Amino acid sequence: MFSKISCFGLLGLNGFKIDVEVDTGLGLPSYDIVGLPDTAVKESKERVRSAIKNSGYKFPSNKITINLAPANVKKAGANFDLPIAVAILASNGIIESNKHNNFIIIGELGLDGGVRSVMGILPALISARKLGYTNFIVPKQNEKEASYIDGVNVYAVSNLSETVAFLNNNLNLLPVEKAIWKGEKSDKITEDFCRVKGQALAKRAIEIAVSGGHNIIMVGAPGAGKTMIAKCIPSIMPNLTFDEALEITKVHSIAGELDLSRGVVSSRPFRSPHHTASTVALTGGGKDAKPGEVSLASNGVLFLDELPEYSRSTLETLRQPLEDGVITVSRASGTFEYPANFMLVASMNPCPCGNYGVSGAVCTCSPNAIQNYLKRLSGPLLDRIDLKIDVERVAFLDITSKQLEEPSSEIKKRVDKARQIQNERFKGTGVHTNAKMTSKMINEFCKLDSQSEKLMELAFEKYHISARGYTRLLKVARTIADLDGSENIQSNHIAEALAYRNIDKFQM
Amino acid sequence: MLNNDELGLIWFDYNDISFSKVEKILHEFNEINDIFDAEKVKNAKLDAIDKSLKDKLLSVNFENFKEKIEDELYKYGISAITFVSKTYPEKLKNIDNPPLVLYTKGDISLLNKKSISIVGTRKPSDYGKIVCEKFTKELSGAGLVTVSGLAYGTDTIVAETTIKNGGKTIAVLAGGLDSIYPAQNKSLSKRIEENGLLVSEYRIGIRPQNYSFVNRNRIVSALGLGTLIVEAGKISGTITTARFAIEQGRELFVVPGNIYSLQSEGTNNLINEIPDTFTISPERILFKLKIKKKDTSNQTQSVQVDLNESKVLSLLSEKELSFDELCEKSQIKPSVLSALLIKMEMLDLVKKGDSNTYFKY
Repeated sequence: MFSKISCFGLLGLNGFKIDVEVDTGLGLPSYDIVGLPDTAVKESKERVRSAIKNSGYKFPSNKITINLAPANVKKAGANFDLPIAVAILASNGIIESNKHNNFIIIGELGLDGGVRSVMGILPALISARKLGYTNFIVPKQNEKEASYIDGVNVYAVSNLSETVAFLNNNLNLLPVEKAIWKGEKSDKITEDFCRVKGQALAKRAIEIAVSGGHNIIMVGAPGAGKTMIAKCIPSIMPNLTFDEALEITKVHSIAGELDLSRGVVSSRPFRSPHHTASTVALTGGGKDAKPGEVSLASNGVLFLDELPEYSRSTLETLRQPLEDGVITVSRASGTFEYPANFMLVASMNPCPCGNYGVSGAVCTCSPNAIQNYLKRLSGPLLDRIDLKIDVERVAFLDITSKQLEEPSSEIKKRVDKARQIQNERFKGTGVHTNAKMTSKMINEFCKLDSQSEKLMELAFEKYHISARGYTRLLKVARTIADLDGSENIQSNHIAEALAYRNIDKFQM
Repeated sequence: MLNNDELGLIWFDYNDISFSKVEKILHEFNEINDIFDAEKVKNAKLDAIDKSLKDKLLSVNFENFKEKIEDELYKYGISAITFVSKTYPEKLKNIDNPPLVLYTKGDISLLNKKSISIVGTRKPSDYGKIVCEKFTKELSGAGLVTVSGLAYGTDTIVAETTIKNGGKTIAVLAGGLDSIYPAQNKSLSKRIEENGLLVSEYRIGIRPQNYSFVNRNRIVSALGLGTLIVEAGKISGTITTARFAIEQGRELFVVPGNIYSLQSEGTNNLINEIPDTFTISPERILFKLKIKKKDTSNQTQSVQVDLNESKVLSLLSEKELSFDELCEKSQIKPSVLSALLIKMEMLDLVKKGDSNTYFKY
C-alpha cells in the first residue's frame, strides 16, 4: 500500500514542502529511507519503529520504502519522525480516513510514542501559509510558537496515539487558540540606567546612539562600567513591533534558542559573544548554515566586549552586515540570507594593560604596544562606528551615593520620540534611522545654517576631519537635533556631535 | 654641489671614523681633499693613528666615490652639511664631539635661527601634554624654532603643535633619514619636511641603535638656545638631554610637576638640583633668552559661547575636573555641557586630557 503525508523542512529561514511517501509491499522484511536524508533523518527509522510498537500498533513486517520528495534536496533534523510514522500507519490501514491528506504534519518522536518539540516551527509555518497550506499538526510543546500565526488551524498533539485517534476521527481536538500580541513584556529583568551612577557623558551618548541607530564604541579602563552601561541598552530601546518580534522569533527558532513556553521573543535581543568566538559563530554557518550571533542580535544589540581581542578576520566579517543589515551564508547545503540588522555596541580598553590615560593609574605599556593595540581595529570597521566615547572610572562618592539616577523609562520616552520623528521623515524609503541615511538624504535633511557652518569650518581646521568623518558627524548631529525636537541642525547640535568623536585615539 | 673637502669628511663618516680621530688624521694633511691624493697619503704618517687607514685611502677611487654619494643623496632628496660647509651651524661647532656631517631634508636655514629645544617623556600625562602644547605654542609664536626628536609623546606634540600654529620645527633623528623611527610618525615627518627640517648625523641606511638616541640628544640640546624639559621620568633619555644642555652651556628650563607623578620625578629632581631652572611660564624663557614677544592680540573668534562658559571656567581654574564632576558641580545638562566644552576647546579655553578630564588652558 502506498501513502503520502506532507511535511515542511527548512532551508535557512525559508520552509519548503516535503512529501513523505511510504510504500509497504511484499518482499523480504526491510525498512529503508531514501531522498538525501542526513543522519538524524536516517536514525528516525529506529525511533519510528519503537514509537509505533510502544503505542500499541503493529509494525508491518514487509518491505517498507520511505521516500522524502523532492529527492534532490538534503533533509536534516527530526521533523520527519511523526509524518513517517503516520504514513506507515496509513499505508497498512491503521489510519483509515483520508483526513491526513489535508494536513502538514511536523514532529519528532520519542521511543515511547511521545511527540517532541522541533526547531523552526514558526518559519516553517509562515512559509507554508504563504504557499496556501492552512492545516497543521505540530508538537504540543511548539503550540505557543505556532499560535502567533494568522489564518491557520494548528492542532497540537502530545503523542502518536493521540495523532492517530485524531486522524481517525476518534478524538476531537480543538485548534490552538490564536495568541494576541500584547506588545513588549520583559522576558528577563534587564539592567536599568537608574543603577548606573555618574557616567553622564556615556549615558547621553548611548541615548543618541539608540535614538539614531548609531553604532558606538566605549573606551575605558577595566571596571569603568562599560559592560554595565551596555547591558542597560535594551531597556531604552524602542518597543518591538509584531513584525520585528516575528522576525526575531524566526531566527531564534531555527537556531533552537527559543523559549518554547513563551513561543515568541518579546524583548529585543542582547547578544554578547565572547571574544574567542569563531568567525562562524558570529556570522553563522556550519553544516546546516545555522544563523550566527549577528543574526540572533538582529533588531537588538550585538555587544562586543574587548573589541581588539577578537580576531581580526572575525571583525572584518562584520562589515557586510553593518553595511547591508543582512548576512549571506554560503555552505555546501546552499546559500542563505539571514537578517543582521543589529546595533553594534563595542567596548575596549585604552591599551593592553588598561590604564593608559586613567588618572591615578600607571600604564605599563610601551607606546608601541598601545599603537599596535589600537591598530587591531581596521579603519573600515571604525568607519562604521559613528560614536566613540571615553568612559571614565566612577568616583567613590558617585558609587556610594544613594541618589537614584534617571530611570531607563524616562530615557526611553525621549528615544521613542526621536524615533517617531525619524519614522515620519523616512516614510516609505526603507530607511528607519538616521544612521542608515543615504548621501542624498544627508544633503536633504542635514542642512546647516551659517553659524553651524562656521563652527564646522573651525572644527575642520582644528581636528582634521575627513570627508567620511564629516558625514558621520552630520548623521549624529541630525539625531541630536531630533532628540531636541528641532527641525534644523543647529550649531549646538554640531558641537555636541563633535564631542563624541574620540580624536586622540582614532584618526577620524 | 659638494666640494672636495666636504666629500672628504663624508668619506670619513662613511668609514665610521670618529670626530676626534678625523682631527688627528687631518693634522697630517694641509687640505682635507688631500686624502684623495695618493702621493700625499703615502707621505703622511698615518700608521700611528690607524694601521689600515693608509690602505683604505689608497684604494679609494675618488670619482666613483663622488658619484656614489651624489647619487645616493639625490635619490633620497637629502642634502649633506659637513663641518666645513658654510651652512654648518656655529652652535654645533663648539660642543663636545660635534657631528661630522649633518644629513638634512627641508629648510636648512632653520639651523642658524634662534631655537628652543623642547623635550620630555614619550608617555606624558595629561598635565604634561597640556604644558607641552601651551609652551610650544607660545614659544613658536614668539618666533623661536622648536627642536625635538620625532619620538612618541612630547616630541610628537611639539612638532604637531608648532606646525599647526604656523611655526617652524626641527626634528633630530637617531637614524638615517631613509628610515623614519617610529614608523607611526612617518606622515608627521613628511609634514616636518615641508614646514621645517629633518636632521640626522647618521647616513642613509643606518638604523637607530640604543646609543644613537642618546647621541641624538646632544644635537637636540645643542641646536637650541635653551632646552625646555616638560616631563621626565627619573632615569630617562630626557635627563640625558638636560645634562647635555648643561655641558654645552645652554640655558635649561624645567617645568615642575606633581611630586607623586612618575613622569615628573626626573624634572622635580632637576629643579631640586638646579633651582634656577624652575620654569612656570613661557614668558620666563623668552625673557631669559632675550626674545621679544610678538604682539599676538588674538583675533577673536566669532563663535558664540553661552553664559555657562564662565561657570565652567571658574570651576576649572580651581582644579582639573572630569566630565561627570563638571556636570554635577555646574548643574549643566550633559547634552549642553558636552557641546559647550567642545566649543571652548576649539577656542583654546579648555583642554581635554585622556579619559574625559578637562583642564583650563
